[in-house]
Amino acid sequence: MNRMLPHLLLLFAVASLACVFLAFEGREASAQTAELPAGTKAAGLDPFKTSCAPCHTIGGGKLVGPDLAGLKDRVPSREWLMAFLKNPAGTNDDYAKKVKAEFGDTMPAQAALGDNVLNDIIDFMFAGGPGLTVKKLRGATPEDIDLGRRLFTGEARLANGGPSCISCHSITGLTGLGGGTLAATVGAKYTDLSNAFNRNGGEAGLRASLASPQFLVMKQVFADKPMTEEEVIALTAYLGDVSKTTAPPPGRDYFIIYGIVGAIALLIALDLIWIRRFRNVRKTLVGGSK
Amino acid sequence: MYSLLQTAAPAGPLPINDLLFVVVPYVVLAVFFSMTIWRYVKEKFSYSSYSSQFLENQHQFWGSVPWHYGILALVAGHLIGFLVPRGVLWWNSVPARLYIIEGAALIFGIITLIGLINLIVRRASNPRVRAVTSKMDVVVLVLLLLQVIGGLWVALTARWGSSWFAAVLAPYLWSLFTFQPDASAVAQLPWSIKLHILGAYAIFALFPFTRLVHVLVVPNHYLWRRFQVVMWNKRASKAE
Repeated sequence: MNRMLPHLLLLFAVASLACVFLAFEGREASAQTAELPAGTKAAGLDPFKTSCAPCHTIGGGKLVGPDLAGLKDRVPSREWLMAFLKNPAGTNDDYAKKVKAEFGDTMPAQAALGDNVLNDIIDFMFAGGPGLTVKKLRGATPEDIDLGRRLFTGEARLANGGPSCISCHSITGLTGLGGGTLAATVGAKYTDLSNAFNRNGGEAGLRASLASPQFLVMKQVFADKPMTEEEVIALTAYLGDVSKTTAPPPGRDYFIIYGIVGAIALLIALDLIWIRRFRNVRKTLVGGSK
Repeated sequence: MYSLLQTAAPAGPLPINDLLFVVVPYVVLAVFFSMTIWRYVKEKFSYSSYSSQFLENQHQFWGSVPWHYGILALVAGHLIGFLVPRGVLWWNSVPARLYIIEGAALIFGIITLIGLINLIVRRASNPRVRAVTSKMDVVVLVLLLLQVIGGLWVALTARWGSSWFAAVLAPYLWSLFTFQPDASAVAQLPWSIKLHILGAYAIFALFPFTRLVHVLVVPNHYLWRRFQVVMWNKRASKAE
């Protein structure tokens, strides 16, 4: 074996470790900046806004989830609430069943926030949400419906650089090859947004959901590219408009058929381009001797 | 946000996700660069794909040509999505253009699969080609086959990849290259896409140890020249 190999393996090992170290170094630094003290505000205000407000108000009425005003007197205990926040799907006592019967079993687990942040949020909710103001958005106009449609298909770009809805979702009334299906792979019901308006609790609920999406992939994608207020109003208006129409049965999916036909055409083209190619040694020799 | 260093592990598959999509890619990159350079320094003349065209050229055309043009288009597409995600989203802002790019990608995906299957059948069925097939060739072919089938599966089931690649995977890949890894978005993707990403890492890791190194040989004039007859001039074994 050559002499360089041990040196290279050592170099490789050091480089790998350095990369992993650098990777987590960067991550820790960013986590610290996020946890700076937030002045005189209640500690739970900001985490509530980003993690809870998309589906809940405190005294502002139902959205996708229940209004959390008076929560302290409703829930069985603080410990119960902590357990529920960490694992809503796994909490199935009588009280949890009652809530799920009304709102469905859709609450995402919040364990990743960690005990400290969850305690801050619980304090904040039990105190009635001090400092929490919900901005009332203007009413929608017919122009919003058209803008919403164009935002859905991508003809109008989302101002902060987020991908258009059609990237992963479909909806009634799309022409051509239709909308995306990525959302179906994370949960079948999320692909087609024709009924998203009703599913997300009507105008107020859908607006809140779009302003700070909590859905699996969307949450990550839109975290630093949020939709603007005007975009939220327009998309909600469009989805509301679509929800009133009855969906036609889904048409035949031509995507794969176009693909196969196109592939055959391309293979024929390749054959034509190389029509004078050197085919087979023996065949050519035999042909030439005749 | 979560951290791998967090003492109380959050519920769900997050730590394994960090291992697969943060640690693995860095290890793969280190292997890829160190071993590729090492092989070039030590065995410069092994940078080849060892032409078998002289042994059999009847079926080679329908394997090699669709495979190579297909895979070049697909790799270029993935690379463009990684390098200029905003440009891709801009292009896709007109649905007709989105359908054109997705249709073209699917067509290239299908001819890539056809080419690869032809190459596998040729290598397995022709005794002369089989005689010059190494174990690593088999590994490469199986891995590429799984990767191409997986890619087609993703293209068909998780549309529209050109858009969501730019929105979800381009930021993830950039987070790796800027040493601020954030695999939280990848964690939420379906397993079909995760397997496709891991398949790509596997190919990059094996790259320096296989015939795939021929990709790096410049000038890469065989992209546009015709096939040429290559005669093998093997060194006689010691037994002879």
